[in-house]
Amino acid sequence: MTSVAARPAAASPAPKRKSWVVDYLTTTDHKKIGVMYLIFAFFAFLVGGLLALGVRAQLADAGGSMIKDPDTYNQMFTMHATAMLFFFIIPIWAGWGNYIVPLQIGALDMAYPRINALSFWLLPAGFLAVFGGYFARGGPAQAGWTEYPPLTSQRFMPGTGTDLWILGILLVGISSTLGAINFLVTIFKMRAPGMTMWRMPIFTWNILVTSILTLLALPVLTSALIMLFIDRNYGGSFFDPGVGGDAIMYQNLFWFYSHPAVYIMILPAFGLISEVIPVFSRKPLFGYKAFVLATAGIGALGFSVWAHHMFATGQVLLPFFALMTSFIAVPTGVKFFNWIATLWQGKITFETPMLWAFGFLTMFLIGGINGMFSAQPPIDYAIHDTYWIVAHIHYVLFGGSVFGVYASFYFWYPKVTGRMMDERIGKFHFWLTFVGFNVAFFPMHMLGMEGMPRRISSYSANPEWEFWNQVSTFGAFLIGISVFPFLYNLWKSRRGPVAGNDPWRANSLEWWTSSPPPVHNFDSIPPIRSERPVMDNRLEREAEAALAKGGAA
Amino acid sequence: MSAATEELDHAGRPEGMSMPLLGMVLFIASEIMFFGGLFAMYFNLRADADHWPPEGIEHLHATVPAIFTVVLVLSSLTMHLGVMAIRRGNVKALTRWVAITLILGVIFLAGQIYDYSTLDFTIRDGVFGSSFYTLTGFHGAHVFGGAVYLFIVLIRSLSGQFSASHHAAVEGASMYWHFVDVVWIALFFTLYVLK
Amino acid sequence: MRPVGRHKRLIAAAVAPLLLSACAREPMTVQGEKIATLYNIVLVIALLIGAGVYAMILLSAIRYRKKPGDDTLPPQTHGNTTFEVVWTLVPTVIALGLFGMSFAAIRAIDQPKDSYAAVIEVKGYQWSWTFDYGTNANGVRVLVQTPNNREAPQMMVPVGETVHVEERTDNVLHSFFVPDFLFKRDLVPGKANGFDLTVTSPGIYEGQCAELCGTEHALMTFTVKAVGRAEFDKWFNEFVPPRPKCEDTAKAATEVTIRSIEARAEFTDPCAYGKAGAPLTINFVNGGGMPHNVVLVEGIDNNGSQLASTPVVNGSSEKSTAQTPALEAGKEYTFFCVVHPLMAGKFVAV
Repeated sequence: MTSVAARPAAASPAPKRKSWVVDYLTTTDHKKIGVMYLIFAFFAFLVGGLLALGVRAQLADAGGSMIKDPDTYNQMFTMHATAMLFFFIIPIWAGWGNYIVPLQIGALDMAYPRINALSFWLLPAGFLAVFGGYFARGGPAQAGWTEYPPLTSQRFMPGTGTDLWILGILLVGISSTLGAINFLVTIFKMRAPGMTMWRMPIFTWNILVTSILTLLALPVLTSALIMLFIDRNYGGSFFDPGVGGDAIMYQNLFWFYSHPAVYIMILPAFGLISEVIPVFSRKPLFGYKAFVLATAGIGALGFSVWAHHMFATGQVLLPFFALMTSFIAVPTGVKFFNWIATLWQGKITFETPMLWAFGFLTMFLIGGINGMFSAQPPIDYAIHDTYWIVAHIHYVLFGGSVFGVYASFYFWYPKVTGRMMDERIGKFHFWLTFVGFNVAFFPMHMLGMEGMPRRISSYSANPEWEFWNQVSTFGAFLIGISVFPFLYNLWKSRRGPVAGNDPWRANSLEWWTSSPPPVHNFDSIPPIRSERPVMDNRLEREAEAALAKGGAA
Repeated sequence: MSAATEELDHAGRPEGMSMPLLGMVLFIASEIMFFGGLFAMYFNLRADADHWPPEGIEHLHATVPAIFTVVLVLSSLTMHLGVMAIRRGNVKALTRWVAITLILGVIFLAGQIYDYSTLDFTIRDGVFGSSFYTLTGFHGAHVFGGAVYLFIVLIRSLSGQFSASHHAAVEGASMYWHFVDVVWIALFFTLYVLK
Repeated sequence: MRPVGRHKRLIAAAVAPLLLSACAREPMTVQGEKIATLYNIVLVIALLIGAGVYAMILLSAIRYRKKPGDDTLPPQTHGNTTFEVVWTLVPTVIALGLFGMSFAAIRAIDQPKDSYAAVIEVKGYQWSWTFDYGTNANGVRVLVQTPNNREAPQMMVPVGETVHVEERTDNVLHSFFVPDFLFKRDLVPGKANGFDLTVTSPGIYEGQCAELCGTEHALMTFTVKAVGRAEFDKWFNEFVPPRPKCEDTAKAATEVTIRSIEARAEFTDPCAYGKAGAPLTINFVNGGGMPHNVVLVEGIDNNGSQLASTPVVNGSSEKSTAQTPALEAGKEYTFFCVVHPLMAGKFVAV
């Protein structure tokens, strides 16, 4: 079909100069699409962050005096989570996947460049639908990002905001599914000669597993959202217990996607960290194959643990899901030990990407360890739907995914722009975020133990919760401020020191080509004999140089 | 691209499965999970209910849908014959078989509409109505999509775009059509036969 | 003089309260004690694992920093099968052990008993609760609810005895959550949920809904009061259904207007007055922000036969009207909102 013709030919004559706007709007180049993903996703991060600051400001006093109408508050945390999960974390990894995966495997582009462009453009469309709710009757979606029926049925939530939310998320779903197919075909079919599966960089491996999870889990969410839409608009009764429907069924279908979705959000960060740690400790990744198998294991187990989000419903088979959930700790633990063993005996330097990687290790560890508590159903009876769980998900998704995202920006910015980012501002940015993050989210453990439920707009009956809430709000604003040095650094560093092909003395193929890479990605590809082709080549050249020097002497 | 390079993948090794076809396989995998979600819904609601179908609704009559099931299974066969033909390079036979498949597909859709017209319940009539129309409706939409795909294949076949070595679109259409057929067989037994 | 010792004491002084606050809060039920025990065991394991992993991360960061000028490559270790097998097996054993303890706790908490001191049906509404104990010796239905959706209702339980709580809702999901019991369980429409409760010491325990249920979710609080057996029996046998006093009978008219508070599931006044003996006109004026109406029924709760019902209206100042038949002076009447059944009041016919 036409996909053959759509592959950019390296030898095609230079096109007439277009303005860069038209160029980006019509591009099918994976690097430009990747950059658009990154910009869009970071924009969604800022939107979601502003909403989070609204949430924290509201909770700074027990009476919740900032926002009088609780519905406005409910819309705020619903849209915060929607922006962060569906429009920031998932797309930003799709962005890096787009930019980096073809480079890491030595391909010219993604397998289906035009479908790739479509995948991206569906995202802003979905964003407009979801956030268009602010202009709809009754405001945007306001039942939490989980949108559980019956609260989201027409009877209890008549506004069109919920319908727009469903339509927007369906668009995001199509985008992710097409993206996943594209990644898989690219990885299976377009690797450079010598790039066997067992020589692929870990980041590419993790994008592969992430894509499989997306491909198989997302359609189930699609089916649930379609049923919800039919219930709301065409008189269906799937989730209406009054006429034989089943409200718990929605939760089962929803979490069948949304639990694997947690791995969709964190596995690419695992991959990125597994690129950064070896480079900055000058060692190969310890236990490469075990690492890949652990990633696959997390992916596979991820399909059998969804109901641990539903322990408190009293409607799930507790022992099975508790056992499976406990087992998830095993492959995650293996990864941790592999990272530490990689650091061990290394020659570690703390450039900004490595600093973020250490931030990731230390913070995600807390998210993993407090996961041990919520995995036990009896303990979950106490902490489910409290701020304890809010703390847990933020240690996983902020301490894990977002720290990984920041590491990826500092690591790959030189590749994308050809310039180095400012180290001093980068380190300041890290410490400000690190402190703000812990001040914002650690106190939530205390609030949860004291019994503060999530998703409440005020707590007049429990003024003793005010102290930790105010600490948390202070931390949240520190995180808010920490974005400014980062944005300034992005802007300032466009004139930073020239990076060269391989500023970090790194391992994988993206560092072989120029920074930024040419349209056709590679002028040449080195022989690939291990998972570190660029490193191998550097060592060879150094050995040759040493030999020549020795001969001369 | 010449026929010879089609046989090699990017790494210069003999190709296992062509790129468009691999894309189709993955797409069908996600579609299976989509229908998996719908089937899970159906069996969940059925297990929750005291009576199935609920009181006031008769068990569906299987005779007429059985005829259309045969039509759809036949169409899978004719599609396969079309693929066999083009693998031998017989474009004429391909055109003929795809046309027949398309006609059978349209007959199936017409049968579906006829079946709907004979039913005395709607999507608003409780979980049975909701699940029946959602399952068959989404399947019907997939048949319609497949028919459009077949129509494009037919046009391209008539304009001579396929050959023994260059017919990934035909293979893709065939795979998709078989998938839609298999889903229908599962639906037929679930909705009409299972007591 | 001894800086090391002083540091140690300082660290201990800083860490000890943190560790103590990390322990589970003191549970007030027999079931909660099992949860607290499990929590504290997991806490110890978690702290040990956490401390070990942190030590290794920090040690590697300090010990294996690159020395200035040292450009040689460190040993290029690719793996070590023995280590990798060990650190796969050890977490597996820990995970299995945790699961075993969890499983035992699940069984202990959810083991049904043969008899209970009381069976209490908890119903969740938008946005309050009712507690139904059935009928007492005087034939009075012991149904705890607060009129007009305003105050937190109180659930009474005998201390030291096991009661069974049945959870029902016919609207949206709710969750019965008492932090002092370390326990919550959802109320699921269409499903029969329930749990056992054995409160170990007398007192008043605060609870609230833990599953987002709409606008006033944050205000959906309740309390559980645990009292001695004698006091519980006295309360149960002498139960008087809560009704507003409503003594402002001079307000009675043939056209009665009832209003709701803006953005609240609450009438401005839990009392309404009408003239007896002739048909009345009932006007409902919505304060805005939520759909409401007025339903008038005979009797002291919402279950009596319906006399009038105004259409549900949504917008601010939107009005709906209904006609009633002639009412009898001195008879009990109740009015409520069909959307929010606990938004209810007393209708006095004079």
